Amino acid sequence: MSGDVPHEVLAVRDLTVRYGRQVALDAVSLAVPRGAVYALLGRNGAGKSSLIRCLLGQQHPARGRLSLFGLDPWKHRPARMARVGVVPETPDAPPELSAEQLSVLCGRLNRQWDRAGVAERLRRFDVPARTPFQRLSKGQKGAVMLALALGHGPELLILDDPTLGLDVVARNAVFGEVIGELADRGTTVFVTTHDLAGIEGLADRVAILAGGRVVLEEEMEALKARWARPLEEIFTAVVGEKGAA
Amino acid sequence: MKALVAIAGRELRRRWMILPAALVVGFFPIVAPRLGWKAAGDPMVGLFGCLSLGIVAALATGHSVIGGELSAGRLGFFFSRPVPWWSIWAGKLSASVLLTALVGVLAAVPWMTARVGNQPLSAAALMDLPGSLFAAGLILLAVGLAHAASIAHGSRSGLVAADLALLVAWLWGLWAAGPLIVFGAMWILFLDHSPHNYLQWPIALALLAASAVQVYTGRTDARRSHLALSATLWSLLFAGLGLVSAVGWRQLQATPKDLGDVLWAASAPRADWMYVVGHVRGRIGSWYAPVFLYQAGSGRFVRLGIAGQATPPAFSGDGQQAALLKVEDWRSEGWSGARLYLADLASDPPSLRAVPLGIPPLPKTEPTLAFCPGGDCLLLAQDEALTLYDLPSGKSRWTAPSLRGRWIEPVVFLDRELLRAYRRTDLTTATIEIVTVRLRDGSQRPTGRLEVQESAWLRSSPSGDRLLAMQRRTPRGLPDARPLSKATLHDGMTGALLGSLAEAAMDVDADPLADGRIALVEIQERGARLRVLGRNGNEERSIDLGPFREASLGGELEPGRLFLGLGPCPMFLAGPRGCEAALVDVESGQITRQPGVSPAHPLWHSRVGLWGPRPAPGSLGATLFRSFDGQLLRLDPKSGTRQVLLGDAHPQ
Repeated sequence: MSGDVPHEVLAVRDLTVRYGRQVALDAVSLAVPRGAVYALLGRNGAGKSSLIRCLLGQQHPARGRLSLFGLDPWKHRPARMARVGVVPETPDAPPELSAEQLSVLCGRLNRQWDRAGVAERLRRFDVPARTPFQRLSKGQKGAVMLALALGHGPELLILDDPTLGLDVVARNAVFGEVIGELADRGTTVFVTTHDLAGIEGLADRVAILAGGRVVLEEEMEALKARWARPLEEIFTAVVGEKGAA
Repeated sequence: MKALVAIAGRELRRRWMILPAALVVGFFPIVAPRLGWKAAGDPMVGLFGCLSLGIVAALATGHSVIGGELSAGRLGFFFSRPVPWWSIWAGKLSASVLLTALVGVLAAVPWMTARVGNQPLSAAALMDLPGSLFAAGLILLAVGLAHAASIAHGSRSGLVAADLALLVAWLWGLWAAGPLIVFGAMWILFLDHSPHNYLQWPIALALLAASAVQVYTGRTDARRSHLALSATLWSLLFAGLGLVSAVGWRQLQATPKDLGDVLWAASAPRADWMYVVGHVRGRIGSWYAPVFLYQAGSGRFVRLGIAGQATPPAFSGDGQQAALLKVEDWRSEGWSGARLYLADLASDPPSLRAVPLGIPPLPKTEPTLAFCPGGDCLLLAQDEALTLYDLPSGKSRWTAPSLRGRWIEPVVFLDRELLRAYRRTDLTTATIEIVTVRLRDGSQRPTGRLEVQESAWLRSSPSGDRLLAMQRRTPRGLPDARPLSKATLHDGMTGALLGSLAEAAMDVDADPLADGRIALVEIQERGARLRVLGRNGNEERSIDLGPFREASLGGELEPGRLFLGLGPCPMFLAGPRGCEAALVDVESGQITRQPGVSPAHPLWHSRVGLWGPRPAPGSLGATLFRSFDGQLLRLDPKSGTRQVLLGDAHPQ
C-alpha cells in the first residue's frame, strides 16, 4: 500500500467485513510495528477472527486494504505466509497425523524447517509425538499448533486466542515462555485473547474492538498510566461505554 | 510442486485402506465359483465390481478432499502455509482421481490375470485410447460432482435452492435446444474415436474449472466458496449450452450457396426448381447434409431439413409445386409418422406448409410421391398400396391395396382421368398384372398381364403405350454361371410381347427416348453397344461403346443426345475408379468422353426408383450433373461446357 511505513509489519486501513447484512468489521484501521507485541481485544463476536482471516489472505474483505510486510496478503499469500506463523483459535491440523508426521508435512510445505526445534518444543510441552492429532487434549493440540507455527522461524506470529480452554499452567507457558521469549528475540507478535491478565504484562500496544470498530488503540503503558487501573477494568469500562458487538 | 506432492501424498495415505479392499473385490470372480456361486465367475461380474468400486471411490474422495475439509474448518491449515492455492487444489483433487484410478485397476488385475470366463477381457482391450478417455472422463465427472455437492451441502446457504433451480433450467435448456445441440455437436461423430468417449468431458471440465475458482476465491470461507463454485459452474454450463446451440443454429441457417459438396440433385420436369442435397462447407459443418428446393436463376430456396428425414420430393408438371414426406416423430412406427409438406414455388417468397393426410402412409416401405397431371391430387405409392390424396386438403380420395402381391414401379399417368399401375400379384410367381386405375374413384380395371423372369424391372414410355421389361435370370444347375439379362418390348396396356430386344446378354439397360424410339445398352463378351431401336423394336442403329463390362443409361440431355456411364458406376458417386462418362449422339454415333461427372440424381442406373415424370430432354433437369469433386454443374449437351451452379472445387 502506498504510504506504508517501512517498520510496520502489519497494517490495516478502513477494513470492512460483512456477512450478508451483518457488518462484522466497520472501517477498522490499525498498524503493528516491527518487534512489537500487539494485543487485539474484544468480546466474543467482535470481529477479531474475521480480521485475522483477512490478514492471512483467507478471506476477502468487502472494503479496505491490508498489508503484511508491505504486500496485500490476498494476492501474495504464499510469500507472506513464509514469514508468518499462525496459531488459529480452533486447531485445524489434519486429524489422522501425529505431531511428528505433521512436522514432516510442514517441512515439505515450507522452504526452511527446524524439525529438531519443533521436536524439542513438543517435548517441552509434553506432547506425545506419535499420537494422532485428533486424540490429543485441547492443550496439547494448541501446543502442537504453536510448535508448527514456529518451525520455520517466522518474523510475525499471529495467535488467535491461543489460551482458549487452557489451564493456568498451560496459559502461563504460552504467555511467559513463548510470547515473552519471542518478544525478546524481536519477533513481532499479534495476539487476540480474552486472557487480559495474561497479556497485560506482555503487550506493547493494545486495541479494543467493539461493535465492529476500533474503540481504543494505544500504547499499553500509556493506557495503564492514564486509567490507573488493571487492563481488565479498562476493557470492561471501554466496552461497556461503547456498547458490545 | 513439492507442496502439491506432499498434499496429494497425505490424501492417499489417509485413504490407503480402500486399495486392499479393491484387491479383494478383484478376487471375487475367482473365489466365488469355488465356494459354489458359479455365476459369479464371469468377466462381467469383475467389470461390474471395478466400475462400482471406482464410482464409490470417486464419490467418497471427491466429497471429502476439499469440501469435507472446508466444512470441518481444516482447510485453513494449508492456507496458513506458504502453499499456492493451486497446489492445494491440484494436490487434493489429483489424489482423488489417482485413488479412483488405482481402485479400478486393482479391482481388475486379479480376475483379468486369471482370465476368468470363456471370453476373457484383456487390459489392452479395455485401456486402449478410447477406453482410457472414457474412463478418465467418467472419473473426473464423478469426482467433480461429489466435490460440488459437498461444497453446496457444507455451505448451509440458500444458494442450494438456486443451484437446484439452475440445474432444472439447464436441463430444460438442454431439452428445448435439443435439435440445435445435436447439430452443433454432431461433428464429434466424425472424430477418430467414438463420440461416447467425449460426452462427459465438457461437464467434467466445467466442474473442474469451477472447483479451481472455488478454491482460489473462496479459500476457507464456505459460503463464498459455494458462491464462487456455483457462479463459475453455471456460467460455463449455460455458456457451453449457448455456444453449441449457436453453432447448431448456424448450421441450420446454411443456404444452397453454402454447400461445398453437392451429393445429388434432381430438377422439376419443365422448370428450373431443383432438389439439392449436399454437405455444408467448413470444418465444423462438413458433416451436415441439408436439403433444399432451389431455383438456380434467382437463388430462391426452401429449406427441407436434412437428408434421411424425408422422401425425395415430387414436382408438379408445371414445376410450381413440390411435395415430400417427412418423418418428424420416429417414435411412431416407421413411415406412418410421416407428414406431408407442400411447397408453393410460385409464391414470393416460396413457402412450405404441412398438410395433414387423411390416411397415413403404411409403416414399412418407403413411399414415393407423384403429382397428378392437373396438380390437384397427389399419388402416394408404396409396395402395399396406392393412395390418392386431394390437394390442397390432403384428404384421401381412395386407396388401392396390393392384396396378396405388391405394386411395382413404374406408375404412369395416362391423362387427367387414368393412371396405369403394375402389380406383382403373387410373390411366388413371375406374373405382373397391368391395371388401369380411374383417378376419380380408384376403380381398377385389369387390362393385361405379362410373364417375367425372377428379377425384372419395367420402364414405360411417357404415354404408356409401350412397356420395356429388363429381366435377369441365373441359370440353374451351373454353380459359377453369370446371370443372363434380356430386354423385351410389350404393349403398354395388354402386356402382349411385341418383340425381344436383347437376349442372353451379360447386362442390359433400356430407356424410351423423347421421340418414341428406344435406347438400349447391351453388354456382351465382346463389349458394350448402344442400340437405337424403333418404336416396334426394330434396330435402327448400333454404336460400339468399347470393351466395357458395365454400362448404364444416364438420361437424354436433349433429343438424340444421351449420357452414358461406362464401366462400374454405382449409384452414389465419389469419383469411382474405372467409371467413365460419355455423351453419345445417336444420329452421328459420335461419342464424347465427359470425364469426372455423373448425372446429378442418384439414379445413375435409371432402372431403379420411381421419380414421377423424368426431366424432359433439353430442360435444366436433363442437363444437371455432378462432378466427382462435388460441384453441381449444368452440362451443355452440344458444346460440353460446364457451368457450375453450386459447390466448391476440391483438389483431386
